[in-house]
Amino acid sequence: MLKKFLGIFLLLYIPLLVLSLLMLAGQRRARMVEFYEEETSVATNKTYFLSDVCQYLAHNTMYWTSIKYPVDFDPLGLDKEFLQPYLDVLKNLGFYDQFRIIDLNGEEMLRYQSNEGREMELAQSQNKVHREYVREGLKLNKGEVYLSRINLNRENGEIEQPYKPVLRSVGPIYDSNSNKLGLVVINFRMEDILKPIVSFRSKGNTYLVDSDLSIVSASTTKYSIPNEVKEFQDSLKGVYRLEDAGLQNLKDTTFISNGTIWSLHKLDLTKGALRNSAVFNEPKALRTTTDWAVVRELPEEEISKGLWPIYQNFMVLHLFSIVALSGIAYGYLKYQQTKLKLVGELKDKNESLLQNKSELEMINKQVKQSNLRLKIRNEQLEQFSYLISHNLRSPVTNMTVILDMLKKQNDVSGVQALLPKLESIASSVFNLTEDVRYYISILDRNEVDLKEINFRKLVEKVRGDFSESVLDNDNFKILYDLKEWDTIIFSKYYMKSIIHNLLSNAIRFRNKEVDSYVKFRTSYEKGKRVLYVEDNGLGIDLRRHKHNVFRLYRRFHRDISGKGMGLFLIKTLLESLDASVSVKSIVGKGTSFKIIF
Amino acid sequence: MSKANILLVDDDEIYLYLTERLLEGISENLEINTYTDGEKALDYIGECINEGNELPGVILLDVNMPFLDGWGFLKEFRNLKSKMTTPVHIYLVTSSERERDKERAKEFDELTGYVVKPVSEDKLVEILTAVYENQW
Repeated sequence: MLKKFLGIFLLLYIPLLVLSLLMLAGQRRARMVEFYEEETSVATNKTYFLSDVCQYLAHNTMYWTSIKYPVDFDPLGLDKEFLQPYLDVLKNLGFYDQFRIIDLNGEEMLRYQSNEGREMELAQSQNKVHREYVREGLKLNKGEVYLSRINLNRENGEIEQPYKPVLRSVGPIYDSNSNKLGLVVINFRMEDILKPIVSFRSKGNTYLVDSDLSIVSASTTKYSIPNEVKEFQDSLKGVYRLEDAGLQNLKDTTFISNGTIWSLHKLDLTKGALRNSAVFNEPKALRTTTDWAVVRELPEEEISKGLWPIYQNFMVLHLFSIVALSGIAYGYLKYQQTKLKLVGELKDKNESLLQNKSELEMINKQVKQSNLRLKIRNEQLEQFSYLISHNLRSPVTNMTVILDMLKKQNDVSGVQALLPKLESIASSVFNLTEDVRYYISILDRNEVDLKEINFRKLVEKVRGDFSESVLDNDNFKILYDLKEWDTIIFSKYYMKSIIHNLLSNAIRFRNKEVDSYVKFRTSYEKGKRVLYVEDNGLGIDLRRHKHNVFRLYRRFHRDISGKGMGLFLIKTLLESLDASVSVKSIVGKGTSFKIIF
Repeated sequence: MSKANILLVDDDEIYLYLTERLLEGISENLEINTYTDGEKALDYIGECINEGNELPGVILLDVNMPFLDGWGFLKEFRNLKSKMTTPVHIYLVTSSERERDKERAKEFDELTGYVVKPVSEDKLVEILTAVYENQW
């Protein structure tokens, strides 16, 4: 029962499982594509934002480089008045950390820097000739702007505390005679700009990296430029090694590694959300010594969370399917069991019907056989009763006539002449009753006892009944040809009577002109035993007597005594045991009786 | 006037004796021949035809007889009919009142009547009257 249940259940469930697994894989793939697209989109948008910021900062720098400064510009001396209105503007620019004018020798001519209250104030000038941004700035042509790497601000060689990420924008300045005076260097505070880049409401992490994949800012730490923060350097190396994730260079890519989706999008300073209005639509006008890229990391656990609803749906579907299919399998099994039971019952009933049919057929056959026997017996009885009534009626009618005649007789001689006739009538009635008694005694079923008979032995035994007859004479022979069969199950009493009558006829109606014989020959025809009794006697004129051969009181040879009962009895006895007899005869040649058992 | 020729065919010799006596009692002007089976009766008729003797005007024929019964006699009589110059009236005489025999008798045009035994004097007179119209 359990095995069948599991069989049916699995038959239904496995295709569903395979199909749903294919669907699950499809849904998962589609969701992963969505993750890819989402991550790519987020990274791209971040780069657009940063590009716009850089454009803005460069544009802001251009403001200072586009001023025509006085010849022999001296910002803190003679030209202080010229510069004052510009410096007034500077005081309100909160995203400026430092504003400097550096001469062609790398000496700061003017230095403003923000104090703790984020107000710009004049500070002590320093020599910056060895700084990269100064070297790079001095190489700039008119109209060009250099943007430095974003790093922590350093003063006098030391990283300024608290940490302050800055981007330095550098541009060349000229006097009214177009003579190059030096550089304007603006340190932009990047903390407020970097925060929206790396902070994102969605899941996963965002990194801003530079050309060598150094992290500028990341959503995973509150520190910008974390690899410059000494106390975090060692641990950060282990945690934020983006190279290990497969990121080798700044090339736009999105891929999955160790279950984590990585998407890198490189910053293109000529493109951004505002790129149509960008000042630096010529790439060469904006110079940097680094590139930046935004990296998005969607960790495995976040992906799993994102995929969970799909798995959840899959499990709910399967839970429901298991319950439903179990019900179906159970129902089907019950249906099959009921069906099998019904089929079994039907089979039993069918077998019973078949058996009944077979019994009925057998009974029917027996009834038919009985009917046939009864019919034959009826015919025999009818014929017999007809003849008996006829032969009984004859003497009675004769007596009636005699009585009439006696009434009319006046003389004794007339009466005496009639008396012998009455005696004759009485004798004939007596003979008739003897015939009836004999016939009935033979037909009495109680005498019938079927047993195996050795045919030759029985003939030889019957032969003894004719001891004083011609059988002792060499001129009459009994011949046998019993090769086919010599025993038969039949009524010995009947068979004896049949043989007796046949032998008697053969003897009485023998042809005295020839050496007579009677031959008993057996054979099989159509699966039935057949006995031929052939003689070379006088024969019967069948043309004349064909229909009367086996009838009662029929005689065919005038000069030979007989009652005409023998063949009638033979036929009656054979038919009462389902056998039949027929005759062929040629006058003067002989007669052949064929008995089919 | 020649005698009326009557042929009695029956295996019951007492019947033959009695019927012959009755016929003799009815008329002296009858020639009566008797045979105990159909075969002998046929031989007699054949002899009459062959020798030009007068054929019986009436035959009282029994049904059940050895050698050749009444039916067999009728079949063979049919074959001789064309050679007969005078009519032969055959009455089938039987103890049987079986319908089957009566029906079978209708198949033979040679039959004039069907008589059930006993054959009384009156019945014989009736037959003779019918055949010979008081000419006996």
